[in-house]
Amino acid sequence: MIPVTGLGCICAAGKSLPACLGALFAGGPGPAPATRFASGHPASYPVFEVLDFESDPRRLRTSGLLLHAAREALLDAGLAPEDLPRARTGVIIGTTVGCALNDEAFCRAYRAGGHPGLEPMERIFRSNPAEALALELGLAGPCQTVVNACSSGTDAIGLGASWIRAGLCDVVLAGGADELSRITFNGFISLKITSEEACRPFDRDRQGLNLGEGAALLVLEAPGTRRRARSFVLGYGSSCDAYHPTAPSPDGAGLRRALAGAMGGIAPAEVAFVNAHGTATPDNDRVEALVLRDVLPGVPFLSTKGCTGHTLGAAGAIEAAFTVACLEAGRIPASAGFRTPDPALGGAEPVREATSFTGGVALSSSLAFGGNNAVLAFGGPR
Amino acid sequence: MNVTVQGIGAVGGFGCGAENLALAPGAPGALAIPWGEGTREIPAFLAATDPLERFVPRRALRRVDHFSRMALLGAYLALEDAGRTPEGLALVVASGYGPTATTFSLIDSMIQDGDPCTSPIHFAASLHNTPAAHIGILMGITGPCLTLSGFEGMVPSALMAARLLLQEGRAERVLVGAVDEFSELMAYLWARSGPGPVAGEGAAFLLLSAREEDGPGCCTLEEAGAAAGPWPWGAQPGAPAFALAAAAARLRSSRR
Repeated sequence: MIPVTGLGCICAAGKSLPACLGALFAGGPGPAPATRFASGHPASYPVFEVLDFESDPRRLRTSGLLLHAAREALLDAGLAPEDLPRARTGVIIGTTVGCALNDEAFCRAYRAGGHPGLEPMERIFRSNPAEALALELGLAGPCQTVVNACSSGTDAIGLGASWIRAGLCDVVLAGGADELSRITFNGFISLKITSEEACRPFDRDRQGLNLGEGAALLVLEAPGTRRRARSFVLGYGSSCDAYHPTAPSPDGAGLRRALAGAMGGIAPAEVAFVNAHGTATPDNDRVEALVLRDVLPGVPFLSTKGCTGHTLGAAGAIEAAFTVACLEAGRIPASAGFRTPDPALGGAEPVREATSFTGGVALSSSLAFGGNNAVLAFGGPR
Repeated sequence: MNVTVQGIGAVGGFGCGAENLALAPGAPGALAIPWGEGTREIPAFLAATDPLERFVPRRALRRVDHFSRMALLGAYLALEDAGRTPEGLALVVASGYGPTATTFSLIDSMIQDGDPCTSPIHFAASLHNTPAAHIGILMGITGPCLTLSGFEGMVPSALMAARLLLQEGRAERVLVGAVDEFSELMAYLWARSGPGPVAGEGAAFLLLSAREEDGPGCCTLEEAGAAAGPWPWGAQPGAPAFALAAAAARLRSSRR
């Protein structure tokens, strides 16, 4: 059991975890047209953007979002940066956009026959999220940026817990961060899995996802820490579908393996709720709902992407933070965007209203391009 | 826990296979990029992936880019070298820059044809974990698959991840490697950055095990260390993976 002693989160739902949680229970913000970039699509594809947020222009916005979440998490844990054991503090962060050499203006200038300066690329190199955070805090422990597509944040937390179990670190700052990007925006639209309306996870009429941006960070500490644990990482499972680069395996075999890995020693009856990946794409929601129905029958589940959008490499971390906060609160919000049950989901449907529970264990799952599945199990303080 | 190197797979400017890692650096190849009114030849140790067709039908590689092909070839060679099947495998892949050629092609599709014509194929292949996806699908790896991105520390970091997967019993064996490509973008960055060591591209993979029944393999990870230069694979973020593979191959040869 790895104690979680601090949490920080920023996304369209709010600029702190309490603000986000308040928004989730209030039904959340809706998506809106992107303000930071324009697009040439005839239709509008709304996004969940973090408004009124500026970051250091020498680094990608992804780094700025991450640093914002990190400051909140450290404050929450009661740790000043100078308190962190420099060589025994690890940093592990999931991302997608935060590592991509995809500066559009640079590419345009180069393709136009120019000799663009290297600053845009150097800015990306400076922004490797784990390295940027370690540098900012002066840390010299293990440092990893996980690029497992949309399960990156979940994997980062699971692996960070492994570092502590293995005795490599006393403290691990684990999470995920991703910014909205025009290139990613166009890419998801090209795959025809983006909705022109507010997304509706697990709904019969779901049309696809809304992109979002944000970051979340968990402070993980070695057992025996003097600081108060808000929760514990109880388990982590990951697997590969070995099926298709962008579609989940229809039988959900990979997700079942990841669930089994995370739940080692946890009985289904102990699980109070599941914070599902729930992107609102037809394929993801069908596979996920059917697996949850089979493996955890009757266990309430929800998707929070109706309040945050799909924040890609940050999603797993943001949802892990929400999972811990809901465990503390003893209730989960309604699954935003859900109205009409989908007969194809075999009777599985997410919670329609805020729901209280008494159990002490919750799961957070992520599915990703590349066929990755990752699941975290959290338990409340006992 | 004793982690042994059971198999070595590498592809780069030196050719492919563990035995070629010991070659003295030959003359580098070159990549021509637009420069002013003409072109400029940028020297680099470039990798050919034709031998991949020995493992994967050409038809299955139609939509697989050069970046992923290098990783696939390195991974297949390591598994073949170890004489193992993919059963019980986990995968750890590290890359400094990711699929830069495909990322540039993705942006090209937006620039040339407009946002609505953004290429879905290039987008899907522009993710850093695309090589891991292809390796997973083609080999049938159903265990944990992890892709990392970084620079100086990425290979030690990948090895640490692989060791933890074995230590925690999350996999029986781990294929761990590094891959980077010398694309037009990287060639331009190299040219603009001023004189530097000749760059290279390729993939270097090791099959690691902690199972006693697998035998001693080539050596333990600790024994392998890193081979001293000069290196035939050129400067690239994954260079320490090549050095480790070369050292393991040398140790195995010396013990035969």
